[in-house]
Amino acid sequence: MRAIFISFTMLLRQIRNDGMLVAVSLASVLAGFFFRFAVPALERILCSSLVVDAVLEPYYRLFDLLLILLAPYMLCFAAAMVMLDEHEQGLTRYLSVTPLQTRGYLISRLGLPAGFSALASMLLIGFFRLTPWNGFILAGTSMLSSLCGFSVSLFLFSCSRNKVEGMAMGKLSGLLMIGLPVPFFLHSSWQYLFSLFPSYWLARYALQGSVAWFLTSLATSSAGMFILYRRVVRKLV
Amino acid sequence: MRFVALVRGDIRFQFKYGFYLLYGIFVLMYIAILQLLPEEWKGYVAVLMVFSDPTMLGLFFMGAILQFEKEEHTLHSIIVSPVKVQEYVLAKLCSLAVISTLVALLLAKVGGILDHPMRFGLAIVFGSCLFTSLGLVLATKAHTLNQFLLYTAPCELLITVPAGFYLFGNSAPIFLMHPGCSLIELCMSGDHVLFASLSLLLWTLLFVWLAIRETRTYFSTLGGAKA
Repeated sequence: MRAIFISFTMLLRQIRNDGMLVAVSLASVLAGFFFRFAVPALERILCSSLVVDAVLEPYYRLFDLLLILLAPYMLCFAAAMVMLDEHEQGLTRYLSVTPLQTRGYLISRLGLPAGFSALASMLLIGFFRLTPWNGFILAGTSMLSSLCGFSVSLFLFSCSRNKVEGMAMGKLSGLLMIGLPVPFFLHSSWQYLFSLFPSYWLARYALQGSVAWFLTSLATSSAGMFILYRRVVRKLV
Repeated sequence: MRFVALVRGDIRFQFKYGFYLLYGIFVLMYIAILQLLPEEWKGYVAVLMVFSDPTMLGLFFMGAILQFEKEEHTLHSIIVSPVKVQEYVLAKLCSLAVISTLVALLLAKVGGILDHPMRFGLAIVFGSCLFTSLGLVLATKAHTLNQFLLYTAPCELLITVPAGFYLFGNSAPIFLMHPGCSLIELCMSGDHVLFASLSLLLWTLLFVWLAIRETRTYFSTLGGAKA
């Protein structure tokens, strides 16, 4: 356990030295301020100029969801980039034969950042929410979003041979979040085309609060993580 | 001949590391989104897509490309070869401009904004060269990829916010002094095409010059070689 925390501290130090840790925190808070204050102001301007009752308001929940996903996505992306860097330098093989082992390495590099980012998401929503949240649903949504971030980092690391591919995959991984706006905009049965994406079920859970959607998102995330985790372990050893 | 070989090598590199596949997927997704939009929105959204993605791809990828070439010691080989710094930089700009222009032309066609293909294509080539040059300048300053991403964030804001404002808000000609706004003006075939072209050309030349200068300085720090 001690080795895992030391390794996690190393990761934090590395992304702090890059300035990435400050950037992730700052970007999340700035986005929070924007969503909390600029979006309602924009809504007022749009409503008065278009003479309608609501333009953006039906999508306030979507803005909250974007804020919840932001911290896990950015932190896990930065952690995956550090891992790719370490892999290119051959460090990952050395670390896997230390008391840390492969599992400890992955927990310190991917598991703990994802876990902490869930807490950060809950804090951010506490300050900057646009819609009312039930504590239980918020905790569930934050947990699912951290799993999405975790999947993104597994995807980035397992599918990239180097940082150039990492950047390309990082761009592509944005598509994993495509399910998020679907329940807001697509009301026909076409929406089930996106049912393989955990982000789709996450959005439905946040909208409707049904435990079934929570479990479906958890199941789709777990299935993806199971496949990607095996690829990551194969790459590490 | 040497320059053509460099461009070909860069295009092969981009193909190998999935740039073409990535943009193939993105083009399909963007086209699907454009098809779903009402006719009156299509043009604006297509301009926004062209501006924010294919045109700016050099700014996004340049850090990773330079870091990779440094770690693979490709740069160490280049600086002791007869290749000149300006050839190296221009090859990077041209190779990335190829993919930018192809993707942008496709999106413009679907979005119904391709009134003057030649002018549109040239605008994208200049815009792409400008943003890739900026990416190269930042990449030579950054020590890690995360640091590069950090440097690009404020630049992206400085480029996209005035351009977005120009597209959806105030389109006063004074804004054409800004490279993003002049690119938008050219993509939309606005009323001030000549001034926008001149502004974009000047910005591009300035940043290409800066990129060559910074790359020369960067090369001189590698392995003790002189560029």
